[in-house]
Amino acid sequence: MNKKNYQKDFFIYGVACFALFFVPLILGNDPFYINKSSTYICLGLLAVSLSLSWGYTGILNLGNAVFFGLGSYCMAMSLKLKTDAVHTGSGGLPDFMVWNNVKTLPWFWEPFHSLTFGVFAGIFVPVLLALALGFSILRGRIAGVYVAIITLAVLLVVYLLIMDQQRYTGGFNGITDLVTLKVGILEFDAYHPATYYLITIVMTIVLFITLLITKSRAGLIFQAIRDDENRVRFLGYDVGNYKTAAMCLSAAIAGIAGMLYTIVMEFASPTFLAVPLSLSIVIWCAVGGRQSLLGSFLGAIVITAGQGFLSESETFLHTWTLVMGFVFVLSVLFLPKGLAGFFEKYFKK
Amino acid sequence: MDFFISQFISGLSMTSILLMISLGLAIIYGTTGVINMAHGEFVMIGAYTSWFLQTTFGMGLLVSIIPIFLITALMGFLIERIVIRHLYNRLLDTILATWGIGVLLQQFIRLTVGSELKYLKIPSFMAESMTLFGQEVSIYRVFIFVFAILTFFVAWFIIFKTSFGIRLRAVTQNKDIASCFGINSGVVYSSTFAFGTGIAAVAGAFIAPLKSISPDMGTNYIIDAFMVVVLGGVESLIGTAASSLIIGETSSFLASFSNDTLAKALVLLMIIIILRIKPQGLFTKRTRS
Amino acid sequence: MENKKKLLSLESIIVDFDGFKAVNDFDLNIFDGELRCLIGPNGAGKTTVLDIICGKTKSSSGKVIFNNESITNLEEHLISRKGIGRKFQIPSVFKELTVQENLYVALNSDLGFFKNVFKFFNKSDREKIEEIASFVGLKDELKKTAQFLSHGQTQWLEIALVVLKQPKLILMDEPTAGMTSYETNQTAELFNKIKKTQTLIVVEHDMGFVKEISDIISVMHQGKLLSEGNASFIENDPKVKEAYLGKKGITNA
Repeated sequence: MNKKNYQKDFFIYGVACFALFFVPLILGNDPFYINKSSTYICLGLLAVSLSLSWGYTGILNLGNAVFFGLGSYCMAMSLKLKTDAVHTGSGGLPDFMVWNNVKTLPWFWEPFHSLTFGVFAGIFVPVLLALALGFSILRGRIAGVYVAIITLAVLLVVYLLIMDQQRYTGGFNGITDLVTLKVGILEFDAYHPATYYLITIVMTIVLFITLLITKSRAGLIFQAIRDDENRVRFLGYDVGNYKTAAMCLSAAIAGIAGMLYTIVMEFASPTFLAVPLSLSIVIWCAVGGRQSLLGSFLGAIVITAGQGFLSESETFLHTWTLVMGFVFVLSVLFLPKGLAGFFEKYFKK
Repeated sequence: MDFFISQFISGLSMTSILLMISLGLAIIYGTTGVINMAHGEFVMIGAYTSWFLQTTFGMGLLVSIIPIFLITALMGFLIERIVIRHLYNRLLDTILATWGIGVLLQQFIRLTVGSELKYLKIPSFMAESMTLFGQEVSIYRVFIFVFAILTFFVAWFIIFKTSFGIRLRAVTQNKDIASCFGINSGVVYSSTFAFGTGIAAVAGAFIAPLKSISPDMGTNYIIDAFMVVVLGGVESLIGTAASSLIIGETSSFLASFSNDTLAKALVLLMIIIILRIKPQGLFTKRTRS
Repeated sequence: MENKKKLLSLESIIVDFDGFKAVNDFDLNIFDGELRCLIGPNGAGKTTVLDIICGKTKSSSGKVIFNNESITNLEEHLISRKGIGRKFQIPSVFKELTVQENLYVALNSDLGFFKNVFKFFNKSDREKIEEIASFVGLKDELKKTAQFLSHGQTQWLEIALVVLKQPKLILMDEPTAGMTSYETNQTAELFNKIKKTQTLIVVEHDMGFVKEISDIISVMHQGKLLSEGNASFIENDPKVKEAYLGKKGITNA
């Protein structure tokens, strides 16, 4: 916990992030691979969010994808309202609303005309949900197991609601045909290195802020809560507040990752808040090392990149998932701290 | 009055399915502390086994109950011996390990049988409807209800009236002391796990003709089953039965007004509120720890 | 003792667990600056009494008054902020953190999240931590992860965590459980040091230890107060002999 340790960590993280900036050069500016790499970075950031709530604070949030998905939908809504090619009818309704016979734009879509609002909402909406969760289940003496299950149930319910209300959300298809993000004179086409750099820059900033938080006393208290929350209570801390704070931070990070993901994928879909994705985040963190932000980040990148390479056919994809399930079980049994923990022990010798 | 009766009866259908699925889960969690996230997949395996036995050997539903139970119980037993027993000192990790196993089971089915939906027919002699309290009810659903009650009593009998049950309850309360009395907790845990997964599979076999069979059908049921366990607390079988009833009736009731999704959301909200007031579930005793 | 300020009083406390009365109409008065030992057979209700005082368990009826203020059934962290610290029977420290980090968490007057997210470990923190570590004999173990401490050291770390917050009243639940006789001696010395500035209630079974540190001993039996007085009084009280100490008295325990 002294200066040397801090410096070591910041240095390693710095090197890792710096290396990522060279990826487009290595890939020779091939748009397909650049786009894929951009997606991996978003998912890496998503893993960081779970690492904070689970690895550091001990809250097993099985529904973390819900924050990711909400963030991505917020960005998609703003980008959708900027398209002028596909809407008909007065007031500029998104195409799927027209198909569903919606007459006017619903009130909760209106503010998304402003991209700034969309960006704020992409953070704010997940945080609101996290606050609601915090005040309802993180403050009572509800067992960790029950919290885990409830977060999964919440994810499922939000997913079902979005699928259900397809007149307003695009349902099964999600929100597609978005305009390319434009900020001032900069245009961020999903297949262009500029977008990759945008994502990497945002990711680096968020990662470093999160790292800083984990090094603060609050970050230490998070870990103490993970280790023995009763003892933390008896030292005078309001554990419920801290857990809620961890959840909100986690939600904000996931929301940002979601917004970036929409930019890269060029749509928002219910699969962004579905159970398989939420489970995958847990696997990335378990394998990469949930108590390390960087470990979780790299775990996500390695696994999703591996998946990207191999899953050309559906059989491959299923086999890959099978292998991943197997690796996951093995890591739970033998590497509870994931690969990051393994390396740390190895280097400490 | 008619409305309430018909509501109640259709709610009972959901209740009985929930009860069969959650019973296994509650018993496993209550005894060993293991959260079996793969429980839904065992339901799915039961459905697929039933389909397999019927299409390959022409075995009817009733005949296949025992083989399905035994096959899945054996699977459960092996999984407990190979994976779960290493995790008793870190129970929260059992969520992860069993979730991984669930993924393995799903993928195994996808790669062998394929992901397309499969269908099973209700056994012909149960496909008709009968009149009960003035309502038209499918005989099959009545059968499921009766079987669920039967399973409940079998479980209750085993736990409270047999010597195995006494050993089970001893191990639940205090594993180490029970060992000092010569009770082999390993055997108790494995058998419990096997029994729990076996019942889940039989439930799956019964559910199979009601909807379609798919590799991911388990996921929905696992969350419902967990809601039952979370609400009912794990200390009593009555708790599991009661909360199955509460959740089954409430979901069914709400679903008739709005739709399934809203019903699920409201039930979840109800459970969260109840947990805030009684964090350990509705049917638990107050103890020192 | 009579002209000293009454720091804590329990009045007619009943703790009912589904019909079983773990604590049955129990009264206790603790005065400022004393070291009270609470002894009694297993199941007498001693730990439950501590649980009631620090808020871990809610009483079914009765009052707890601390520093002239009612703290009956308040939330634990609020009771802790009023100046009551608790050391548990099973040592509870933060196993994945180092000794230094453990102490840093406890070393705190600011408890809110927003204050703490901007605080980082600095030199004056280090000095205070080294001071308390020396006090409990853990000065050389600061960088060690807590799970690698010996059992006795873990107990001392937990005592350090509790003492750091400088509570007016410290509740110690079987502090020497599992300790070697050497460690027990160290702990007795430690307690005699702590005794100078804090009021202590110690639940214990080790009679030698109790005799070495206590002023007044309260004996509990089946949820009630059986006897109260100094060591020789307790030793000779026939009620106590029958219930707990056996016919040979304290010195042979």
